[in-house]
Amino acid sequence: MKAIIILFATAMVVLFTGISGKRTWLLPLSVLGLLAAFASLVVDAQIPVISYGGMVRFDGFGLAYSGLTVVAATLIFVLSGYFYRGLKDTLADHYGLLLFSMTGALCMFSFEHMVMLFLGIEILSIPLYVMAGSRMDDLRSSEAALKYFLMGAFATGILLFGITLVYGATGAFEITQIQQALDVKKVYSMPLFNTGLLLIIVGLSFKVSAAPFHFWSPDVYEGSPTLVTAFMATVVKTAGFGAFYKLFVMGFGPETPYWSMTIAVLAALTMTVGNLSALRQKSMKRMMAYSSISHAGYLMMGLLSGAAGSKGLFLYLVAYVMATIAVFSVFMLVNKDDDIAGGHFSAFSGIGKSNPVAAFILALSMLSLAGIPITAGFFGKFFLFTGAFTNFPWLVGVAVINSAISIYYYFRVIVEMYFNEVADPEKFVIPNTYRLVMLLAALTLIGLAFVPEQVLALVP
Amino acid sequence: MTTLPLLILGLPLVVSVAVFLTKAKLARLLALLGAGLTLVLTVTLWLTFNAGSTVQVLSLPWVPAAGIGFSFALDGPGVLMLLLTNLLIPFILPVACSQNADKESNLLGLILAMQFALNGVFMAWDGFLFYIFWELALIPIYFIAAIWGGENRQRITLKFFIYTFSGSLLMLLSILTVYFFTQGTDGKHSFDWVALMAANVPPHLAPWVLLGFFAAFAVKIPIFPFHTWQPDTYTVAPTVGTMLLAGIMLKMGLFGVYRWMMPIAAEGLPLYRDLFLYLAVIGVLYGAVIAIQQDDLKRLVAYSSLSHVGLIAAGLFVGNEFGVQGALVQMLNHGINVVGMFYVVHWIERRTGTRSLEALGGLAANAPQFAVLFMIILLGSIAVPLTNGFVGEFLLLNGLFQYNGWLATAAGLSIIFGAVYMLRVYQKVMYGNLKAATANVEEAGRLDLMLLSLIAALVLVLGVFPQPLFNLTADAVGKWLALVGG
Repeated sequence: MKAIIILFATAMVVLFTGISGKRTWLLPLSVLGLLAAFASLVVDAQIPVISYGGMVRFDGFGLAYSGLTVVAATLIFVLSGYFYRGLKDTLADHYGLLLFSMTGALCMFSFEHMVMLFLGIEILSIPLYVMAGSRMDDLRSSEAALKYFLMGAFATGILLFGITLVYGATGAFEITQIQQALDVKKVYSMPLFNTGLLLIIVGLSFKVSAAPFHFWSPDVYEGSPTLVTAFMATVVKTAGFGAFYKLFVMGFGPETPYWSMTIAVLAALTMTVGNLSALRQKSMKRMMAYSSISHAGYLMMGLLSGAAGSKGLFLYLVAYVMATIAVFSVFMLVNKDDDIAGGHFSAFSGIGKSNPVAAFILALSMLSLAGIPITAGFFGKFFLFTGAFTNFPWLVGVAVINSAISIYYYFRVIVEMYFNEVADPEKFVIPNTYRLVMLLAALTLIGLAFVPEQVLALVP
Repeated sequence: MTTLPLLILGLPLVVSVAVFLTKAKLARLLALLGAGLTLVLTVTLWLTFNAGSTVQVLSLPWVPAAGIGFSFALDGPGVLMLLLTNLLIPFILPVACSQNADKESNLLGLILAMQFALNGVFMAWDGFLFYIFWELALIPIYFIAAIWGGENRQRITLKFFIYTFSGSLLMLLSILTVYFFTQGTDGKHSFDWVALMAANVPPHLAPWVLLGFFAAFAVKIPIFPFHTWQPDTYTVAPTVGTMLLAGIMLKMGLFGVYRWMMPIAAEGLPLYRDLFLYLAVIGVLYGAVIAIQQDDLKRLVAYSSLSHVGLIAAGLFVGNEFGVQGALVQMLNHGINVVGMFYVVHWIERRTGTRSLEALGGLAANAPQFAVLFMIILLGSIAVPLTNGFVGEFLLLNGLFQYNGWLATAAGLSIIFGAVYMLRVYQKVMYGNLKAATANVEEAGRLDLMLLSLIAALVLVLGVFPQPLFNLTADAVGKWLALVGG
């Protein structure tokens, strides 16, 4: 709870500092706020804190997932200094909006009352609608913002409708009371409840870009400024799955049979559609968009493993978030002007020679995203697959085939970097902040293999 | 007893990192010293090893909650495989040095990283750990082939990677399936080899478990019709890559059959044994027949390797004493022979600039010493008596004959075919008139002659005196037969 307040306060302070014209203070202030929020999460560790008359409940699950998003956001903020070097607009709006968005993410991990979930999703999304269109001179950016907004608004509408129907069937908004209602009133056979459940699945699937509700994401990912894309691919995805898990496994958990098959089919569809579409992309950002769709498919398997699923889901998210941040940090260096044409795969040709460090980090991230041992991505996949294996062996089979397919497009980046000879590949400068982020990401991707048990233990 | 294997495992990794960080001459020196020291350690291990025992080298918890352990163990055949790996790497490194490759230290580092992973595969005693090392071995070889390879290398190596990785994932599914039927000491599931062995897999799943393992190993070995990646990859990879692939890496597949597939999935075996055997024997004949028609020397050796390896796989699938003994011994012998053959091919290509049989001829006149050594290695490859190839192939055919006379006869034809294509090679390359490419070739250099003599010596010594190898494997094979019930 403290973390939410700290983040909100930081956002306000940042906005007012912006008005007073102290541009250089903004970034340190924001990072400080994020670190303070992280510290408060560590202090709170493992004690369920219930506040706002039972609307918000911070337990071990919420703390771990919040911690991950705060770390991801911090890294993205660290990257932002160099990314916004040429920005003429008021910088404070950008930082403020991203911080507001973070408070929304934290609400999504800690809601007890479904209204809080809805609020969290809205607080997360609305700043991002603005941020997606934050490059006002760029038509693609405006297109992204409009698409994101229309689709997002539509999805939250459906979600709200679902919440209402579930309330109608169970008479409760709090997830613990919904559980009781499920136990006592046996509402799960009511069409009202099942329709509500389905609508909620649809709404959340939009948010995590699961097929067939994924059509917005490639355009939005490509059109948005890369920093915002990185934020969407990491923080928003994590928040979406945190909420998904909390609502379904911790809320509707006992009545798994009524929704698990739907999610399993969506998962299979999502990973397949994402992978097959990624195969044909020429732009790195679009490829990452489809890759994030396929990862959403794998992540949905975490919802099907019962109470132990949160551990596998968390490990996978750690690996996915770190790899994605590393990929986008290298991407921002290669594509310095952040234009659409500069994001083509061929921009990466030969950087294995000219920038061995950046190339190595990018290659490592690709290996991790593809799930090759002994990277973090492999451990993530392993625990997710193992968790879902008992109940959905066929889904694990589909996931395994998809993992094999995904190698093709992840390795294309490696091929470009190392095996394509370019006469004179450009050597770009790596700012120290980028070095730091890349180093941290690489350490996580390799180091996770040595401490999987400890990372799993972060989630109760 | 347990520190020695750990040193053998760890040393190549340490040296590999050091080699990556250094350049040029120093990198060469480090790599060769490291490989030499590893070989000495391995030979010491071999000489002091009690072949009847299974030694638990290390057993640390890794992810205790999921029953994953960091555990290694060695038995006789395991030591044999370590011997194979660490014996061949010192021959492969000089070839890497002779290529004058761009960024040579990276190449040497990758080879040593591969050595580390291979040793890990042969020592792993935990299904999860085995899978990790199995995949780890794939990454260095992919980079070796894709960076230093020939034409079309990007497409071919990616195909190779995806092909083998897909197979491995199916194996992972099999391991997982068995894992869910294990009972560890504390009631949890476990990936430990012993636990996997003791698992009660329901009869309707057993064939699937077997097939999952088979998918991984059949691609790696490769067994017909899963071999399509192999000739292209062998041809396009630099010679060091081909040596690693043919000499050691495919033994991972064979060893996997021996250590993991047959014992753990023994229940499903009766249903599929004949199918596997027929596929293996088809591969034996297919590889031999295609080899006869090849013009490209490297491709020819690749197909001949396909043929030889098919026979080893057949011996394992039969699962009787002769078959398994022969297979284990032949794994080492085939490794020596095929590395020798590729060394010869590499030398010829380096000197003449071509691998085409039509463009070669008359080398024996100018390089008489090389000619003798080439002949000995070639005879080993044909499996002439008193060479190492004969020992293994004789046992393999004998084992196959006990199971099915017709299959053995068909597989035996491959020895005749082998003589046909190998002698054709020798005739075309060494005799006849000198051609444009071969006119100015001189006798092989001292280093080449020394390495080839060592290989030739191994061919002859292990052919005349194979007993030490059997001493290493006999007891273990006895236990294995009791487990698999072949």
